[in-house]
Amino acid sequence: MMENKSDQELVADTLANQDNFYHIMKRYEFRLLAFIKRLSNINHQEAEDILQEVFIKAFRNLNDYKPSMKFANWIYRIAHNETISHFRKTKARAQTVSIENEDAKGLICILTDSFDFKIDLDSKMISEKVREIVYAMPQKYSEILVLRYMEDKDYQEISEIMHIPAGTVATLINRAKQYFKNSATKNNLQNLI
Amino acid sequence: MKDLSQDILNKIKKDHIKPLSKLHFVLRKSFIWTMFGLSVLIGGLAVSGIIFHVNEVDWDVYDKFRDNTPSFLMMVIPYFWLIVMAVFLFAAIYNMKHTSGGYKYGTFIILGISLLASLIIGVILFYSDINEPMEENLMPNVPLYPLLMPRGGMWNDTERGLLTGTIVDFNGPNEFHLQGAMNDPWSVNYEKARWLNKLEPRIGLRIKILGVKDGPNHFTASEIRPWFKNQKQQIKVLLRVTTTQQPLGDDYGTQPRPGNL
Repeated sequence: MMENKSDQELVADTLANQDNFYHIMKRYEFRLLAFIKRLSNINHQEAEDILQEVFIKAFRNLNDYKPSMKFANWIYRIAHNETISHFRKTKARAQTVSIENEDAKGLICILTDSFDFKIDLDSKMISEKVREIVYAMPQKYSEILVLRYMEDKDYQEISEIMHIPAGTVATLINRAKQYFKNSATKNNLQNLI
Repeated sequence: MKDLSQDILNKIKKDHIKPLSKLHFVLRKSFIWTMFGLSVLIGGLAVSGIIFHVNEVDWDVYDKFRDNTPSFLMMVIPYFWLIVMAVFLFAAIYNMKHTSGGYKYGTFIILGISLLASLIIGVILFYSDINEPMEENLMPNVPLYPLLMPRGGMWNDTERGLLTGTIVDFNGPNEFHLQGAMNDPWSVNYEKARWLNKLEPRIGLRIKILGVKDGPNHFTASEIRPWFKNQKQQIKVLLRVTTTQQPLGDDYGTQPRPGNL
């Protein structure tokens, strides 16, 4: 029954009874855990610790959530900020984005308008190469590629999550794509595909 | 099997964590908007200060001050107000970016809007005659102000025929005692001087003098100007004094020259 309720309804229910927050967490637990790992490539335990902070922060700030905004964007923003903040606190940069073979597919799609090839989606070497390229990228580019090509967020959603104007999102994505394409060429990625 | 969501809910309950009240967020947003408004308002004050100082520049006698136009321009730039404007425009951008929807707008759009708002407020404040009393308060009370507003000191150069100060006493029908900008005493002969802006010599009047230094602490004036071009504030104070007969501070003229008695 709770599964059929919208996020907004669950937020209202949570404000009436905190036990209902369990259903919000259950709905976003795996998505946010994957998102945190993609942003930072940390181990599962550390990602769970960050996720706990995300949910507690979301719970404390529930009255700040406006139903006119997508709840997913609101909680993704908290997750994004908490992940970045975690690395600021520990004075370390996120090692790289975590790229599984499925994630690599999304990024390789960036190249399809540049190269003519058949994609071997299961190649570990491709994933490894993509990981290397993204590792060398400035963090602002890798973040935006994660949101666009792994989380499949549109420009408006990315704007709300990263708190930057939609125009800046478009610019950043174009720059990140260009950076990725140039790096792919330098690293002979197309030869592996 | 581990249920992370249940664990977090248990922690929330155990630590008695509660959602912050709506009032908390309303107050926080109100504070940010107030700070934005204040930043724009102070930016407007700075704009009015800039307009005022540009308007006060004695363009007609710029050759008296320095040997070339660029150095004259460097002397008349109202650095203090430009710094204030820059700081508070930055503060306006910062505050706007921290409003709930502020991130949607680019920095240059926010800068443009803040600048436009400050310009409008600045023009209104300029025509509200707040600048003269503000100057009178800032000059003695803000230590960096005279340093960042070098225009005031430009008239304190008797070797170039420039003198500024306040009339403190009359020494006969054509001569008055002047307290210079550095509290230095001067006797000024004004027999052949031209008084600009329908100015009348009065004790307490702050003036700028063009002329010649013709002795130790003696100056012969050829032209006398009010310290502020319009001197609306001085006129208002003089009118108030005429009505109330109350003595004033030493900045404003309260007594007419001996010949007018």
